[in-house]
Amino acid sequence: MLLNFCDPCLRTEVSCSTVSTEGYEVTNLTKDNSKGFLAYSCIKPPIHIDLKFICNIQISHVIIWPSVGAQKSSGFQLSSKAIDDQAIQHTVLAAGYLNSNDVGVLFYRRDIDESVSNTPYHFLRRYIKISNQRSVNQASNLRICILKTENSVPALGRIEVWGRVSRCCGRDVIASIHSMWIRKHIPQDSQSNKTTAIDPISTRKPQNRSEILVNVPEEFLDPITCEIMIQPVTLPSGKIIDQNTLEKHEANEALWGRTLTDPFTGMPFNEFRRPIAASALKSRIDKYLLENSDLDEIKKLPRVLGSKFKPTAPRGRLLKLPATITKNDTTKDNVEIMTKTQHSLSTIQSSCHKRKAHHHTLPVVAVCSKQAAGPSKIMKRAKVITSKNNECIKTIKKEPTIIKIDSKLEENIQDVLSSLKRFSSPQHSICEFESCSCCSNSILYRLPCKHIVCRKVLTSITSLQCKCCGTPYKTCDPKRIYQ
Amino acid sequence: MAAMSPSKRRLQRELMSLVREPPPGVFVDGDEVGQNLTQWIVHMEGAKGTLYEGEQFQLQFKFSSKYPFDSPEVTFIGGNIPVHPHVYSNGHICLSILTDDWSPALSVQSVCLSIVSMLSSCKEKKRPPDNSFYVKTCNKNPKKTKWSYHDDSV
Repeated sequence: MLLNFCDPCLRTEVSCSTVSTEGYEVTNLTKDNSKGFLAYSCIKPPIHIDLKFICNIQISHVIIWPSVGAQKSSGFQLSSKAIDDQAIQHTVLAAGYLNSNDVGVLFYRRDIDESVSNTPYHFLRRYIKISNQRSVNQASNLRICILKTENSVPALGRIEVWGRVSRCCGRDVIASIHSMWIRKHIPQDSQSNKTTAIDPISTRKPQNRSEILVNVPEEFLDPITCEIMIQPVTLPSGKIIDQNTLEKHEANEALWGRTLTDPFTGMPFNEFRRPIAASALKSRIDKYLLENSDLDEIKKLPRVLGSKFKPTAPRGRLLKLPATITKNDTTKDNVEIMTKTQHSLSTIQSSCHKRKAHHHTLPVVAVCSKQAAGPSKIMKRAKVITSKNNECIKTIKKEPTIIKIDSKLEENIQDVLSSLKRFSSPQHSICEFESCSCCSNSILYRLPCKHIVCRKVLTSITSLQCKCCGTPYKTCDPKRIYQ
Repeated sequence: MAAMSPSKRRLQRELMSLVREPPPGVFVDGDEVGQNLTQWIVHMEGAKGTLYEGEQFQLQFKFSSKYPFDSPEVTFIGGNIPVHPHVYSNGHICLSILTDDWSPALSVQSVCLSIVSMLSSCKEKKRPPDNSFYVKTCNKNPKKTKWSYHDDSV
């Protein structure tokens, strides 16, 4: 089996006789990154690059891509030795000088079919001398000498040293090296392992790619496109797909003159049945992408900046509440206010209980994180308020101080509760569909002040203030209404 | 080599799962399809206890680059085209999920199952009523036909 001994899985050691430019170290040549090697800018040829193989190898062919950006080396000499000893001289195997129109150089044994290497036509071709049998058939070190450059720094884009494990190594060494190669290059799922040995160069890249895909956890892949999701959304059917897929689906449905539906169930979306961001999954995907960002496949993936699905205002307001409650004032209707507060507190408590119950009965919600995380957070906050309010009530009983309770409390609570998702009684949620004043059938958006505007009106507003009540809003606040 | 297109990736996965666990009566030659992912031949067998028991059919799937958002082009090919009220003698199939009702959530496997069940539910082996006219006038691509689905029972 032909192996590329410059592949990282075969752990060839590489060293250089000079210093290199930062970021273009000689070790790049045995890594998967494609930056290549550049000598330090003042270095002149000749320089040596020494490869020390994991075992003795029978060299079949060596392919050299000589350029890094505009830097290009143009003269090469190959030499090798069979014993890894400083004292022993290298035996010269081949040399080649490139013309300006040669893209690279292929050194190969006269006794192999050069088409095996599958190098492009415009590569310079040179034979490897096989007169010194040992240094070709049992090479342990290979030296690539850059003899000449085209008015540039010595550079080397990529090298591939193809060969077989030498027969002198013994069967167990051969087997273990083959298994190192197979583990990386022949993915378990692929049926095409036959082609690897025949066509090593053209199959190398796709194999790396499918290998990466194998490693990506299944849940990170979009079930429709089978790609890593960038912005996962949970559909009403419970499936999680990428926002981008959903948009493509929407565009395609529009071709048939249909509105957007759940691709899995065909059900149209509406106010209560619509896609929501799966942010827990998103953060797990983001973590995965961050940890694996050195893979080429993942580098190319688009990233998302900020969030379309930002939670809107009311939570912040609720936190300030306790401070205003304790303010003293003399008003007549304090009793009324007190009963009102108690009433509203009890509503909070009961709704907390309710929510708790739903939280337990619907463990599925954990998938659609933001919605699921929301209630519990608010529950905590609500508890804080109740305890503080209880204290207030106690103080009222002890000493007859008159306390003004923020008249906005009721409103605030309503505000918070309305923004929560209720799983049990959808009819209960606010449902005032006052359509936009100008048209009723276009795409509608709801502003945080609960006013509904159509797309036309929304885009015409430049001041970011509601046209009806003048409440300011942020660009991310308007929410689309599915009918 | 250019980056693997999204449709390729999806097709690769579908092929893997179809080869690994094919639905009953359906067979795909992984090596043959692996050569060209945009055109598959799926071998199919008439289900037991139906009018098509013991018969062998070949289905041809052609995928555009927009797959899975665009439906595949599915026709019967080969010597044996089932005689069925929804299958024309040129192999075209009158099935709504192949055009209007296609959804990206459907797959080769679900299309195969639909066709198997369509064949299995047949009560009488006959060609569609407008067969000879359609076969003479239709486009080679069944997706270009404006189908009107007159039988909702299948």
